[in-house]
Amino acid sequence: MSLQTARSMPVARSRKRISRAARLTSSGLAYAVLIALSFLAIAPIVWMLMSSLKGYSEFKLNPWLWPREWQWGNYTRVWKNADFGLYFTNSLIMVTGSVSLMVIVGSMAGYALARYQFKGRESLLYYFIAGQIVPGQVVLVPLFILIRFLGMLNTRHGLMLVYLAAAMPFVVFMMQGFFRSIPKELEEAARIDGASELRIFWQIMLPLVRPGIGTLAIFQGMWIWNEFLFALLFANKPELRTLPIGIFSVIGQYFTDYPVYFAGLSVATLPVVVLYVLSSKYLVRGGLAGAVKG
Amino acid sequence: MASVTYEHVTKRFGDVVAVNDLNIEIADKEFLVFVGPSGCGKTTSLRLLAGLEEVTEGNIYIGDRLVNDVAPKDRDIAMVFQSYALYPHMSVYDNMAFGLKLRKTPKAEIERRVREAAAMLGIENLLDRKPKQLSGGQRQRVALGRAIVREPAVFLMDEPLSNLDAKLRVQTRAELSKLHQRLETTFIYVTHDQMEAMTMGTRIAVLRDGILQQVDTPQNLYQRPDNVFVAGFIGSPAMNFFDATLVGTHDEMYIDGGTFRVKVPPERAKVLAPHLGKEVIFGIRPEDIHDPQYSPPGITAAPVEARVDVTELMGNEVFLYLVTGNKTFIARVDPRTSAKVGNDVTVHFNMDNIHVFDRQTERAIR
Ligand SMILES: Nc1ncnc2c1ncn2[C@@H]1O[C@H](COP(=O)(O)OP(=O)(O)OP(=O)(O)O)[C@@H](O)[C@H]1O
Ligand SMILES: [Mg+2]
Repeated sequence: MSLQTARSMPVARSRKRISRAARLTSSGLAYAVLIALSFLAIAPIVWMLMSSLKGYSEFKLNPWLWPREWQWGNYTRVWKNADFGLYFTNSLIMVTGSVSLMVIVGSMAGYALARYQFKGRESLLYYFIAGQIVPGQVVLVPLFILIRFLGMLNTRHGLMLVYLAAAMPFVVFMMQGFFRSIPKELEEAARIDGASELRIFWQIMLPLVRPGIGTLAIFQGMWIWNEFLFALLFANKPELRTLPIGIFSVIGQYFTDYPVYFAGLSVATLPVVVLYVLSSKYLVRGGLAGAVKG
Repeated sequence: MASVTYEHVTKRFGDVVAVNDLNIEIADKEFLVFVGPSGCGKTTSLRLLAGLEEVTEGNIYIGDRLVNDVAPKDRDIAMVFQSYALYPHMSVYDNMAFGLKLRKTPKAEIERRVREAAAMLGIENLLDRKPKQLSGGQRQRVALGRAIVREPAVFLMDEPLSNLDAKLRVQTRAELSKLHQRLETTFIYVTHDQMEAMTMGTRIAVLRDGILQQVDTPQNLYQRPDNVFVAGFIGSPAMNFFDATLVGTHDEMYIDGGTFRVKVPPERAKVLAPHLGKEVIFGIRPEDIHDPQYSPPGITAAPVEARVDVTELMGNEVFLYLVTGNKTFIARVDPRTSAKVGNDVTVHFNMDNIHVFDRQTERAIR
């Protein structure tokens, strides 16, 4: 055995050299791809920030260069003229309200699907999975008619309900996966300890899927923060406008003050970026938790 | 404190019969061990008693109370799971106190009981930790503690030692026995390890394929196994079995194993007489086979010729793997033996401790 290794040494060494070269080129390639991708991701944001600080004519004359004169006034203008404070508040209310609803309804439904045996359980699960396949735009018209019929058009709770319905397939499916990954014995131990069903759910199961819920909440929250179509259709009253709609309203029919528009976009993007950076570690961890089915 | 009774208990999962017509009466303060190979229905038997599964047929009593339809929390039992099932997000203290809080035990009383149990188990300094900050042995103690504080009438344990390393397992075994004496409660314990069963149980129930084979004290189980399965399952190394025939006359009876023939002592011959001429399974434990030089005095020795295939020195004894014909068997002999690999040797079977089973029914002939 040892003799053989000694004899094959030179071969092994040359192979090693080759593999090191290969490794270098392959990691160089990986870096090149990653840098290109980061550039693609960051460039538009930088461009947006840059443009938001130019005057209108400068923006038209040199859209690609650094601002010659920094127009901080764009920001004050967008805040005052476009009623940004209101849009901000509206968006915040929509996000917290919808996400809370999603978490409450989704966790309960997910728990039932993961843990209780009842008739039609399988079909119900498939129903939710099927729901993920249908894009929201397809059901836009029926949804609109339904919400109008319910008298919830141009109300906050109407829009929240639409968001809830749209997110439910994904949220329920993920939730039941999280719950399924928790060992059954925990629940049984609690049952022997004397816990009621509600208490098991509330005090044992829910705390254990918290990382998963956090991830879901952040993703869904970002989606709602940026959502345009539903918001435009179901809450199109000036006092209900969310950020994306509000910013859009800056765009005029004949004239658009693009730098101001970009200032608005920058303000709207900022919270998302901050949230993402703060929670990125957590997102990766939570995204993996519950990924393995129990 | 309570007795436990399984009365014609059957549990089916679809087509699988996990427990088949189980009848056992477990006395108050007993330490009963369910033992058997994997899949024989030990865990299911325990879960039926805990109320985590519903019986398909039959009745289960705790004390005099029929508990078939009683919820787990009202059965006055506590269970230690194989995986311990500690609540990961609660401190050790809260893990132990959880059940008491739900039962609205006064705070001071909870505190007293948790501290007492923690002291008993030597985990007082861990009370503020989370389960993931504990070693396997410490977790096991917390799981025990959680059961102890509840002061249940019956303790249920499903292989609580199987996640511990060998040394800790032996140590904890002794501690569990001590705990049982100290708490004076009924313990029902599940294991697949016959050694655990033998060392801890006041009685042992041997299961196979959902069917109860024998319930008895460790000693009786070892010395008087009811059938081939129990005889082979209890004891390590396992009992040697030979296909054999009873030959000779009522006064001079022999067991003929093909390559050897040993004389049956007169008292045993009387019992075996009805089976004279029939095929049997002859069983003898490794420790009942001796090197003639070191045979204990006073035994009824029968010489058997064999070749030594392998020897294993265990320190205080030697395992000889012997071959007769094409059959290998094990002897557990004095370490001073001069037997070497390849030698043809004569060993002495201690005929006072032989086991004879009916070849058809595999039941002991008594
Ligand atoms: N929930 C269930 N559904 C279907 N079959 C089950 C279920 N639980 C147990 N069984 C079956 O019942 C039989 C007994 O299982 P049980 O868990 O009681 O075995 P065990 O003696 O505890 O085995 P082990 O030593 O491996 O833990 C097995 O054949 C098992 O496959
Ligand atoms: Mg088991």
